[in-house]
Amino acid sequence: MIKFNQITIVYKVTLIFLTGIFSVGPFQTLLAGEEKPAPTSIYRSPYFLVISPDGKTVYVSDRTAGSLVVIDAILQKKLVEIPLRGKPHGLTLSADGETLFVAENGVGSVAVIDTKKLAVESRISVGKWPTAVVAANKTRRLYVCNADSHTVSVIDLSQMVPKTIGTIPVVREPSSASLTPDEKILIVANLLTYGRGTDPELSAKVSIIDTMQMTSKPPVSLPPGSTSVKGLCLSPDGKWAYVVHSLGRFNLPVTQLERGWVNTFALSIINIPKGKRLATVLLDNLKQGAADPHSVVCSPDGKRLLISHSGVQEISLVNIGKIHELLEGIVPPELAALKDGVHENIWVQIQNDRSKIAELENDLTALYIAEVIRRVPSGGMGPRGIALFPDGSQLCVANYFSGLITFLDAQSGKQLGNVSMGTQPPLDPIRHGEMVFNDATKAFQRWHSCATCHPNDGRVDGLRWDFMNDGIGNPKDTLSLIFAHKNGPMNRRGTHKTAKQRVIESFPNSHLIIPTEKEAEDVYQYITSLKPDPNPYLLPDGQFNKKAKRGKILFNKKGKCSKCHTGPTLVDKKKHNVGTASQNDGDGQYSTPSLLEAHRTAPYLNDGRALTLKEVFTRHNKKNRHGNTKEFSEQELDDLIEYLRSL
Amino acid sequence: MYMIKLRSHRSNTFFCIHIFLILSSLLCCVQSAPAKEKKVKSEFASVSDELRQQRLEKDLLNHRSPSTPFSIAEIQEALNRAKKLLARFGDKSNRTRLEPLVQQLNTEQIKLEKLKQSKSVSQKELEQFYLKSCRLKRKIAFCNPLLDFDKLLFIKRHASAGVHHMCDQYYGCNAKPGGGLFVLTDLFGENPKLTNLLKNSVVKKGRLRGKKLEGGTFLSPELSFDGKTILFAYSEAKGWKKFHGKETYEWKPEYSYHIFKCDSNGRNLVQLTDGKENDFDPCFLPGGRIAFISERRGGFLRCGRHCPVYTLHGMNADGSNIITLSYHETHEWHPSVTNDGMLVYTRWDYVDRDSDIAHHPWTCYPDGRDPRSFHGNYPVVREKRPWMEMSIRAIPNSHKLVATAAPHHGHAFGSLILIDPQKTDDNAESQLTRLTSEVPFPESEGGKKLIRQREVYGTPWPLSEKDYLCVYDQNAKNHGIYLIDSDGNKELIYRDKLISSLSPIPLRERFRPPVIPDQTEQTAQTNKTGQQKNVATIAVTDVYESDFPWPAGTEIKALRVIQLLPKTTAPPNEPRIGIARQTNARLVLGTVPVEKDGSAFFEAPVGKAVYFQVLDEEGMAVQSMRSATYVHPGEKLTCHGCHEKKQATPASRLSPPRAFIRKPSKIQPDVEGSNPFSYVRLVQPVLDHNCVKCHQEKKALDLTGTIEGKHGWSRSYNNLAEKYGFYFHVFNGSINSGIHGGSRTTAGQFGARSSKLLKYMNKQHYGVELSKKDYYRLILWLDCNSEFFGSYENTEAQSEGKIVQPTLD
Repeated sequence: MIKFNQITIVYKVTLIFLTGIFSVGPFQTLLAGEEKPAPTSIYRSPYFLVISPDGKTVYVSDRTAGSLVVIDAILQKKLVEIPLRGKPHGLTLSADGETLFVAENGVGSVAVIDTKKLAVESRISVGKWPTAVVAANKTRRLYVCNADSHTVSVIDLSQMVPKTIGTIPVVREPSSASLTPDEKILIVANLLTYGRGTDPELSAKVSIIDTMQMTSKPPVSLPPGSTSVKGLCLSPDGKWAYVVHSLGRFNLPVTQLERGWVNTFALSIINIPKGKRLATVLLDNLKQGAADPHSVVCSPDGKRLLISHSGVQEISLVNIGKIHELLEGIVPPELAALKDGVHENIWVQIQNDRSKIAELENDLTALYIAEVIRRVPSGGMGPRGIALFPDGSQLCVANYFSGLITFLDAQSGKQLGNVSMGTQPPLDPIRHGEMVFNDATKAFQRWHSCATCHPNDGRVDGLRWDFMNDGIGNPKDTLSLIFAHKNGPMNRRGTHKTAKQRVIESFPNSHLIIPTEKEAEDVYQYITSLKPDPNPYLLPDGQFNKKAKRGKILFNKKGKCSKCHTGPTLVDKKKHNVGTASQNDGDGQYSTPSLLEAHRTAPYLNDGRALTLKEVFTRHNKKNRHGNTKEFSEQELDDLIEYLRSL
Repeated sequence: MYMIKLRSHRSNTFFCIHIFLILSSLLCCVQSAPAKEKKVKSEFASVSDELRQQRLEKDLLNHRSPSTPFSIAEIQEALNRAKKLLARFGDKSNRTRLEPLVQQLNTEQIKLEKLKQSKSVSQKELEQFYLKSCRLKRKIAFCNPLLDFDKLLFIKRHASAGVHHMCDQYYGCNAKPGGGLFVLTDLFGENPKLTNLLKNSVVKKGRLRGKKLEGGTFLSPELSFDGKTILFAYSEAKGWKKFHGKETYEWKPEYSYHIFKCDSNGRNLVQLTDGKENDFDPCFLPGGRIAFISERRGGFLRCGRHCPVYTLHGMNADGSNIITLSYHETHEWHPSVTNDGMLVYTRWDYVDRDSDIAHHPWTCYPDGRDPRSFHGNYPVVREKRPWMEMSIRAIPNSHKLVATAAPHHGHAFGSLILIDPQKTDDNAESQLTRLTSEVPFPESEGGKKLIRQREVYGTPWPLSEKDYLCVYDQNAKNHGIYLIDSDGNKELIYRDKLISSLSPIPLRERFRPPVIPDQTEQTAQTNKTGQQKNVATIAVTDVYESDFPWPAGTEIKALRVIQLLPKTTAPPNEPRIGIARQTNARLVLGTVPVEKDGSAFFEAPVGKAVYFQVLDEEGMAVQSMRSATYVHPGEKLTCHGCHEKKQATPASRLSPPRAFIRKPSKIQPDVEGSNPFSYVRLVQPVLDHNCVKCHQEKKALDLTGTIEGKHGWSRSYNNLAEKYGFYFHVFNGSINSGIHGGSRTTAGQFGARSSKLLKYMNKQHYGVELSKKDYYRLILWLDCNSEFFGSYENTEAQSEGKIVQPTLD
């Protein structure tokens, strides 16, 4: 875990100059300091956005162009573009709208932007992979989610030089956060599960942080199988947290997709004062998944939620006010009259017995029959960040792959206009492949995209799945796709020789539709283009630290790990039995997995039985078949793990 | 009979807008002749605007009661409707087309306001104003942005002769010659033109090679997704010459319907299927193959007449590699592809229940896997719900479907409905919206007498949830093609007063749903080894997952797999299989274990209609299916539960289903006499061993195995089955026959558990002590609907206790 005890203003922008680059209309692009203008050959990918308190300006982070785009919300025109560092991620505005904070993911900083000067004023050092940022105006703090160290940094903004005054551990890869109006509680969504694959109740958790004490309260578990928790917002009164996530049925074999057999997509409602989950409702339709919910916002009156679904290019309009009433047992007569077979419908059942609320987790039509949900087109491909105008009248949507900001009427969902982030180059195979990878319309009834189980640019969802390619009853921990094409026999059981073959067959096998040849080829191109992120465990100069260096020696020599984990991606492209055979995999032969980014691929081993790298050796290598680690001292084991983490 | 009736309606003013008014009215007097009609076809031409207007006006007037005087309110209503249409189309429509109409509408409204002030207005004046308003509304209706096509494909077809019945309407022996495959161009414009698409086409391939398709009957047109290829069924209708529409049941290649294919311009006409079986309702699958309805599977319906069963089949686009997609034991109709790439079709389902009230939508994958009902299959009432839902089609950009609520004893016409599968199903009307509420559901509303006059609407082609092309005739005779909407607007597109115009399809490219990969090894493409595996697996995650309550303390130990046999004898209800009327012959394939967590996983034989029972530790059925399913070679079917909630996803589990992590069980055959099923072999030995002697001594119920009576049943059966057995009747109305009726089984109140006989099987009954095996034999009989025979063939030998294998399974 990396702690940041000091804040440094990394860079003070001293030089602002204007250039004559015009992207949309006669507006100047401001370039700051060392940053270079976004070349036109770079794809525009609006990611998150925030709207000024006066409703006049929209600020959008562009993940691939590495910039902030400022849009006039009234004229619906791009104003300026401010280059940033890394992959700009979440952003937040001060209450007066004068200061904008943007997480610069990958480079460990939050850019502080003066919205009058439209320039980066300073930078605050945080974890390497900041995701969400939340400004606390009364307490003059900034909260930053660090996905690399699984922490939230608390930064005191009241000083001349912002200072980190606390680092609060959360569960795993915090993705989104929101503060109660009294600023006493910070709710943090953890993107992934953190638990053993063999745990039947494995689920992602929502952290509740006491901001005054700077401590975590017991996290709230989402229903088993919940992961990819990306969107979070609070009701205006701060009583409820609304979290959107996937909800997989990972204890069933992947034999079919219909009726949410594999994946469903959910909204969980958390009672903040009680620190408990009230209900989880499904956002899907009976025959059409609402794949990959990304962001959620609440209307100023607290009665409506709007949710972006990056997998299906849609926005859900949810009447959360009525859902609360229904959960309290207030069922309108016309709804109460609707029977379900010979039974009362779910809402009447809840009215009679509150324990039935749990059944909403499995009910694909509860919201539909109550007429509290509607899905409308987002106006482009891959909607991600969304923001409501302060008066709640319009919704701005960051349509990632289209490079468009779309304005929707927040009540009707009608499209009111688009603003282009800049010139979008024609789709090359990799970008097209990425788009298909994230597109759940390329699956039967839209029940998932590739990214549903491989979120985080093709990485892991922290769940195990029982695919049919290697038989039934032998679920496997999801593998990261980073450098998968270099890893020899594909899958844990090596069922496919090449990654290409795997990709081509995964559509009919896992998505249950046949893609076009180009779609399959381009997804393969995209997967082969994926590269590891800079490792946060390495020293600033990119070298192993001392412990890791010692670990490397142990890995290669005493541990005999390099016997199998060899070559550039540390795989020998063979299968071995390391004594971890799961039921129905009699011979225990598994492909050597890559160790790249091992620090972020938990849980470990074929069925995810090891929660930590340490457990791989302490609990699951008693016969010394998985490296010669039985005789390792505690120190040696720590060193080895430090090395593995640094890969 | 039919002909005479048709003529009696001649005086009705049905008019074809675009064609041959004068010629056709002459022809009404000589209506019997298809040859004459051929003459008419060659005379197709555009008619003058004036004539068209006249015909249109007559059609408009047909829609209102002639006895009602015209009124200002009626005109205002027409103008209001026009305004509503304008508001609905809004900015989506072509402004240049719409603008003058808006002005015209305003002008008409001003005129009407003036008229309202005037003291005396003549009826004639009002009529003219009304008609003018309707014409204006019609022009506005044709500005619907969804009408972005200028060609319409359809067929003309006479209603089939023979018995007026859902099954018989598609037997080629009942086909009445006449009609054809047509394209109407510029249908919303000023110069509509009709083309007989096959006028010059000669069949290039198949038995009819070198011939034109003339003098026969057309059925079920279909258009490929790219709009370039047309499929249809055609019968030479040669039975007509012989039978002249009399009730008949003969099957010959020249009588039956076969599937043909041609380009969208009528060229490259080829015959795809042939034989004595009827093949019809072709449907392009997104992957390129064709689904269709065929009698090739074999079997007859159990009630009614000599009706061969037709079900879903599939073939390559060139007619090769025909496979059976559905092994269901009764009829199926009208497959079409849903927006998500599934097949939706109508299945008649009456396993152990009412024969006339469940023919509702089912879906399956395009390779036939996993047939499932999502609506209407288990009615709780007969009234106020459609008995049949036919011609089902998915609505573009919607999860809803349109269908025709049709009669059982009738043809595929009635009232149009919208089905919303996302609403919970109250087994009555909750998922339905009536689109044409002025027409009640035939047969279920109004009974048999009103069936024919309620066959008003049919063959809907949805454009949106609001807008449809369909066919309509207020007198339910020769239907015309209309554009309708759910607000009650109805605009005539085409009508031929002498013959029905059916199945309108916009002739253009349309949305191609995703291609779902085949997951069976049944087609030549998927069966790579060439050796078909005659096995599939079925996995159930949790039998306890069900939408009905289980009796307290129920523990399920096994599943019994029972096969339903296709009826191989044509006469209805002959032979009588058992005491239950029109019941299925069945056999017990055996049992498979259910794990403690409720899971089961087993190998199942392919290509057989089967159903399941869940058994307690004594092997007694706690619950039993009253429907059928089937699996295909290589299929791996997974089920959630036993009649789980249809709108629920599987609940999160604490562990994988136990049965799934072991090898699939093999079905363990059951006791002698269960396969093939035979009361004589299964039950009589138990009676002989335990009961007969004492009963004879005490002069109690005669339980000997002597064969007697007209059905060839035994004396013991005659004495036991009706009074002491457990059975469900199958007939029109059997839903209301108390414990022998209903649509669904109540768990714990079924079979042996509920039979009177079981009460005598213990010591209290004169110290009876049955061995476990004997006890089980009686249970098995009672759980199998207390049948006598095990197949439809050679009942004499069956009565004698000989093993008679079914000839078709």
